[in-house]
Amino acid sequence: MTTIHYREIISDEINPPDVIDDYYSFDLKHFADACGQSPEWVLQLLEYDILDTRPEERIHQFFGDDVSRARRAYRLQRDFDASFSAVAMMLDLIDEVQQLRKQVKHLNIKDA
Amino acid sequence: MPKSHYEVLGISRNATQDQIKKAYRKLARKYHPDVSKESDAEAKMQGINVAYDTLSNEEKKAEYDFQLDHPEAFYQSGAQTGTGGFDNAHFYNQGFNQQHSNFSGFEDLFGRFGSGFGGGNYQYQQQQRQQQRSYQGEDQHASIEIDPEIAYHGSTQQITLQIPTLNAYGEPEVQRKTLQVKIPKGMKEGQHIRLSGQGQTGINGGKNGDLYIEIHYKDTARMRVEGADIYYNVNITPWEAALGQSIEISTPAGQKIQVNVPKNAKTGQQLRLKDKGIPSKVPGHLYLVLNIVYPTAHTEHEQQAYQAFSETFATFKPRNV
Repeated sequence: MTTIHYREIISDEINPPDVIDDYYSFDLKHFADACGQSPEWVLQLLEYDILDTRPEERIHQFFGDDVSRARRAYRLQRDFDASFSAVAMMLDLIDEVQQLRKQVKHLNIKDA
Repeated sequence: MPKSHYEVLGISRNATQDQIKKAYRKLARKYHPDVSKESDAEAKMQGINVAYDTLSNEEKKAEYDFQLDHPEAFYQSGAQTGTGGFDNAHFYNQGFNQQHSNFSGFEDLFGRFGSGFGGGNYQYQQQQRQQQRSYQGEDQHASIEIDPEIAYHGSTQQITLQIPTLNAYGEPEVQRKTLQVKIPKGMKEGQHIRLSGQGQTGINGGKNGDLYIEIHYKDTARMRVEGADIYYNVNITPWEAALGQSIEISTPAGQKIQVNVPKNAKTGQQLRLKDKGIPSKVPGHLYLVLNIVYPTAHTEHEQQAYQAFSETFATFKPRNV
């Protein structure tokens, strides 16, 4: 039997954040850490084109917006027991559906 | 009264593992936040994952069933006991009540392969401690839902979260952390911020991990955010719509601007204000979604106005269009 302790930590300091945007770049290790996964798992995302294929010399460079896509891939894999190839197809289809939904909304738009 | 894991999955207590898995798959397809259009999909999916994580593991299920049958034994003292499994339902209901914003908690913690107690990460942490080497704490992930207006001005939000970790004696500990987090202006929907050193505590003097927070905006009756674009509902009168007039509106950024409504505008028609969306590095657009509102005729004079209107448009048959 294990006892679990509780500890309350209250900080009044304002924590300044780093913004992880498309201009923010990571190397493989830091990107894997940011995704909460191993570097090998991240390389599989490249292998299956879940993240955009990069030129040989930049294969270990990742950007802020890749974090969201990698995290989505992780959630889909985790929650549907999906293979990498299935996740790649699911993400493509989800992106396409979102794009179509957006286009439907944009019908009838005029510049003000 | 929080729902039991069985109620969350919509199954009975004597459901087989096959039935549990089937119920989980069905709900995951409906509520997975990356797929679902339901507004509360993320919160529901967290509950579903916690329920499935517990009930799909015979050992955790037996422990959970014991807790359901003997609730008095588990809710009276500050500390809980268990065999490595963690009472996620209790944890969930107590732990993630956001004080000032809708903080949805750690997806990993509630995920099926999460880092809660009993998960692989906890065992890994214990092994690391026993080796007496220093290791950096794990990075943690969470998401927060904030008002869209914050995109224009930024804000400081107080968030409360709980992180499972090991204390200085190597014992499992839940840290309940209250942090003041600065949300910068110009954050796009789904973008991340990172708080250095606010993740899991380092082991044997190692550095703390970082906390990654994914930003989401609340859909309000007035507006919704897509990427860096904002869709903003604007009510107009029938005569403004028919005649096309210049109207003054207050933007989500708090500015007052004049906008030309085109002649014969329709409900649902969208007007784009270029670069007036979220002020990110590449600014989004602000889309005004027109909504024609008809006044109620209370007085005789007002009813006469509608009568004159109907006579003028006698040939207009909207149901025949």
